[in-house]
Amino acid sequence: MSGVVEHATRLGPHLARVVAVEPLGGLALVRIEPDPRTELGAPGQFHMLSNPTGRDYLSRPVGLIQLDDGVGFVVDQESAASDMAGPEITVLGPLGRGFDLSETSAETTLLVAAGFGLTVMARIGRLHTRIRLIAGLRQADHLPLLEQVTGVTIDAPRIAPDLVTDPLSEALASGQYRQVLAAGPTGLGAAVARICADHGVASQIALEAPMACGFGACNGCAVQLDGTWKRCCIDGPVVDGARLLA
Amino acid sequence: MSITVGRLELAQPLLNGSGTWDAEQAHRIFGDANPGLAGFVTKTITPEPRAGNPAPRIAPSRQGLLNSIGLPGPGREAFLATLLPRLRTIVDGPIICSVGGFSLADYVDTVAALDSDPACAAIELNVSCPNVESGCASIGGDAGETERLTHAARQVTAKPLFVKLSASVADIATIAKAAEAGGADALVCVNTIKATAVDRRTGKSWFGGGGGGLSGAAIKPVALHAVVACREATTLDIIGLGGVESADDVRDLMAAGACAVALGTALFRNPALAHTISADLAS
Ligand SMILES: Cc1cc2nc3c(=O)[nH]c(=O)nc-3n(C[C@H](O)[C@H](O)[C@H](O)COP(=O)(O)OP(=O)(O)OC[C@H]3O[C@@H](n4cnc5c(N)ncnc54)[C@H](O)[C@@H]3O)c2cc1C
Ligand SMILES: Cc1cc2nc3c(=O)[nH]c(=O)nc-3n(C[C@H](O)[C@H](O)[C@H](O)COP(=O)(O)O)c2cc1C
Ligand code: FES
Repeated sequence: MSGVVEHATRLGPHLARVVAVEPLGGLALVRIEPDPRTELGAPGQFHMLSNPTGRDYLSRPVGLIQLDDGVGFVVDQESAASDMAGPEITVLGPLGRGFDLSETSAETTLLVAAGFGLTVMARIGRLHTRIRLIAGLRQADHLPLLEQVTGVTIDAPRIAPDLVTDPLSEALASGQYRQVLAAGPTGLGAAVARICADHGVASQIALEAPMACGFGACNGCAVQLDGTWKRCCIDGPVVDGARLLA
Repeated sequence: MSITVGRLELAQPLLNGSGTWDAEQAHRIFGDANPGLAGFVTKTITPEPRAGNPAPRIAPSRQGLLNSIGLPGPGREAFLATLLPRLRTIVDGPIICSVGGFSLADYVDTVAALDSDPACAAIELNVSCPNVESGCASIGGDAGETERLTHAARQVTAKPLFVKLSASVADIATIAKAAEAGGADALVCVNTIKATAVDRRTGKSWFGGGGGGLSGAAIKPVALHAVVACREATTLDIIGLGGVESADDVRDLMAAGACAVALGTALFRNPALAHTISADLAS
């Protein structure tokens, strides 16, 4: 059973002060002022962020990351400069189910992540060091994102159209690994779950879906689980990989 | 400030819109099933369980949200056996059950079953569904169908009966009159407006289930028009909704003729919104 990590979540979203917006290749790292109300939750849990001006209209799910000197998140530069721009950001969370890290060790666990899923691995790397990470990026100018993913041992990153699934199959063939923790865009999850199942290795997958609320109210975040449509924000985002194959 | 809407008593005038709040999840996540709301309006209950539409189901629009959700839910039997009893233990205030279907009999069977369940305080007919039997694309788009359905539901329940109207119709006043003639106690205005997003590459609907509806700030003027039209056409109480985000939006809908107001899409950004609005209304 993966990721049954439940936190009582504050009902009211709160305003967090934006301290800095730094370019991270083609992406942006937004630093926010540490605040006891901004609880990170478990790795894999997420927050709904929105602009207090209402410019963005819908809030968006984002994975907050721990920085050496505070808290932050990574978004594309366009969002940082438009929808999300301003001195403050509204934060609701932590929400959803995170990774179950009880069986995690550098010897038997393998991490796979692509795109914004890499920010989740930054959280895991702070709790369990030296785990091997197979990383994928959509484009070369996203490489600086990996600077934020510390504590893990990163393979040579794969840049699209290279796939993370090729080195994953090779790694699992060694027989060393007992579980895979993965995060990334739609498509990656099911592919990773299939390869893990073929090798008899357990997997926990952090899914992505467009979300309007993040707490089960809108039914917008449909993902295919257990052979039917379920809500990513409450059944996930972290799910047992086997559920993607049913 | 306790109020009565369509014979249903509410401690204060704020509710949620059907399908925009999940009391069970809110109770689990936030520890409060219906924060700041006078009761709870359920997601529309269908006769059979439904998985809902394939993804994608939502897309942003300027000052609004487009959705094509497809009425996912446990179906009537599981709702009555499991969900409704559970809701009764966690919801503060009356539970208003939203009913949908694809034939007259679908609606009547659910309304009759709810009538004998004390956990259900009032019934809301979501008439924005097709009548597969008669071939009518949307019951709420046809005055005759609306009156027949409301009348049939009225025969099997003495509970407060609300009819939720769509504004995607030629003349909402005619439909409102039909609901009144059928025996409704109150009107709920408005449901989402027919709208869609297209996939630029194919020209087809962006949504996995096709179709779509628009909600949020963009439709508040549509809701105001619908409330005024219903007030002028009928003597029924009105629950106003559509794009409500602030105390001023509540004041506007009440000035137009609503006696209670529901929050929908705005709850997605701020689940504590009803508390904020109540405080603003009181000050
Ligand atoms: C658990 C989780 C964690 C996440 N973490 C992060 C993170 O740390 N950082 C981050 O930046 N993002 C993260 N995301 C993704 C994020 O929520 C957004 O999806 C992403 O930021 C892109 O936002 P955008 O508005 O620029 O999206 P866009 O790619 O511009 O799309 C916006 C919306 O439009 C829809 N759309 C696309 N094309 C069309 C069309 N033709 N017609 C109508 N609608 C269309 C899309 O479905 C989407 O809902 C995460 C998502 C999840 C679920
Ligand atoms: C995601 C979503 C799901 C909805 N589901 C239902 C539903 O099941 N039944 C119903 O009668 N209305 C449903 N509605 C309509 C709302 O109850 C409301 O009438 C509409 O959204 C307008 O209000 P708003 O602009 O405040 O959201 C839904 C709306 C949204 C956005
Ligand atoms: S994002 Fe609203 S139900 Fe999941």
